[in-house]
Amino acid sequence: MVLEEILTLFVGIFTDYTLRYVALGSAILGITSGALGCFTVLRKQSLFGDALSHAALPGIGFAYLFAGTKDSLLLMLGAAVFAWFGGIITLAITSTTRIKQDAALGITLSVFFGLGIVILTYLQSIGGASQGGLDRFLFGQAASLIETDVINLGILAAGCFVVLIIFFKELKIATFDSAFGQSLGFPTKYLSALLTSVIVVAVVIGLHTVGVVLMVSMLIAPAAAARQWISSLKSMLILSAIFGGVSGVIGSMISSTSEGMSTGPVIVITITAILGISLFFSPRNGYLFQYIRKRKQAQRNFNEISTVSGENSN
Amino acid sequence: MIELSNDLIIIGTAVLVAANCASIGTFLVLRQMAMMSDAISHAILLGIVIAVFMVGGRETIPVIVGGVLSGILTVSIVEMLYRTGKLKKDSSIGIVFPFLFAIGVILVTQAGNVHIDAQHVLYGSIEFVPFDTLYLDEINLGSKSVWVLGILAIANISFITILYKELKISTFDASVAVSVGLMPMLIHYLLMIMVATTSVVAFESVGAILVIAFFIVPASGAYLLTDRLSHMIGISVILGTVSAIAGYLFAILFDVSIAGSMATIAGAIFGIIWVFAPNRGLISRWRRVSKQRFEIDLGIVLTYIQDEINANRQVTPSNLSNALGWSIDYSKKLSKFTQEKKFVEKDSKGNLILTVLGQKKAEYYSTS
Repeated sequence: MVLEEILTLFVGIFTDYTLRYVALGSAILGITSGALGCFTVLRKQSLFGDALSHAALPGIGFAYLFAGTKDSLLLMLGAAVFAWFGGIITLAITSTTRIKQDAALGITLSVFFGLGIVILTYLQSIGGASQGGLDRFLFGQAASLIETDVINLGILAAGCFVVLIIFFKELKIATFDSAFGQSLGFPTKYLSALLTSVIVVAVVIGLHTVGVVLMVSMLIAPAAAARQWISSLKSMLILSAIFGGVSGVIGSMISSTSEGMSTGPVIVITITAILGISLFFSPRNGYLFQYIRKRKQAQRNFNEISTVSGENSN
Repeated sequence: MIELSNDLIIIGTAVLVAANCASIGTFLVLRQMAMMSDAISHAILLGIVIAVFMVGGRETIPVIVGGVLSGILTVSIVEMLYRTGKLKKDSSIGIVFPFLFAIGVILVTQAGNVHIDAQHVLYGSIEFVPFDTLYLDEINLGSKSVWVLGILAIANISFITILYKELKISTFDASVAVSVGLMPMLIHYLLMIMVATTSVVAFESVGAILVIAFFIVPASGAYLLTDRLSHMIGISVILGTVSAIAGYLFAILFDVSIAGSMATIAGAIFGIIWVFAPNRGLISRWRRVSKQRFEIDLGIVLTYIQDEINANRQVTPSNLSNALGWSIDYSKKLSKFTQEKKFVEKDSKGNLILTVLGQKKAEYYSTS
């Protein structure tokens, strides 16, 4: 029975028009954020993505306020501009004052989010029901994705990957040892800006499916899960993208089965489950195998001690 | 009972929320735990929803207990994850709270009888606070949230005053705190409990994200204005209160979200402080930097002239900018300044030579 239902769901991806685009959109998000998230995790900037995604919210409101359309590309552009701006503000606060990064992130995310809410409620008060649909960016509403949206998301994601492939070596050096990179003559400052830009694009893609609030999870969890299995950057990127994509598809399928279940939270729970499995069962350093190894070692130590003491007693 | 107007109740609630959050937030900013409050304020949703399910209504005490328990759970899971070394601290935060929050959101949307709107979880519904009144034996005691927040304020004030010394020492130097037997871990968890309690109580009025604005933004502003902990707490509370009142007026004027405008105003106030703060603001920082640069350049000019004269070459105001790579305007300004200060004078051919005072100054620069 259960198997049959799962099967119908899978068939649904190919036959059901809506579900196909929902799954495709979520998969695109998962793959992009999975791959790019590796850099934020390795650069110890995990929560930077959180601030960026919250900062994008007023951008959506402003884009709608000035352009008056819900054209998804325009909204995404507005979101990207504000996400970038939020990132710059955060960096400016930490570099010109003694306020540390965590507080700077907190300032950016809460103030920009507040501003976003102000604009959304302003749109509501002047335009009546026309604003309905913008608040779907809070938790994401993949079910509202249509063909053109998915094509736009696909183009953006492809752009990110082209940048990633062309500048892979440079980004790698800037991530692991930016001082060394600088000494080799790499423009590490520009590379950081480039990396921030592609992460902004990933955040913008994510606004449709998981929303501003939970986006951070899509950047961190796949990368952290992949890190448990693999240590080479290239393989980690690929595995992380796969984890992200799989959780996008599974999450959107589960959320399509029940009415009113937002896609974002379900995808986040799926990817966190994958991370949990990785933390426990990864053969190299999972909790389970660590425990087994510890037990074996303890047993070995015990055996050695008992043979030694046995010899002494004879 | 005195009938307060709805506006006054909302402002009172907002001011109490702001004051409670801003005072505790001081320690979060100083201990670099701002993002932990982000995690706690999101994660309490799960505890609140479960408490509502178990009790069958939004009774105040079960909701607070549930929220605080899930807040403590979050802190413990985050610390457990990064202690094992598999994840960094910020990664653990960014994984744990979205997960717990996502479960909370799904429970809220799936269960229709919780009476919590998924969006109001994010930015609260302070507009409806006046309609939730407290009754004792059929006597109307006034707004429930004002009562709860008032009690919380007393709790927060006593927490900070009783444990002031402990908080101070463990914030600024944890190892000293250990050596004098103050148990910083206990203080840490007590602080986390206070953060969770404050978040739960503030949750209803300002929601999960905007509560962070009250925790972090006023305290960060205060951090730029003073070096004393006690002053910082006071300034932080004042800044929070001002943003709450100004935000409310802004919201009424433009008919927008009250909690959202409070956060926006708090951000604007922080921005003003960031630019204009007496010692740590951008302007005074820029002044200090350009003054230092001018001072250094003055030394460069004097030592350059001295070197050139020692080498029997002549220095004119025009070849100064070429030799030192400055703009002509800047070189003129510098040479004028040096002549006004009587470090440099022009000889009969129009060449620059050092005065006795200037020679002393140049020697001072080249030796120090």
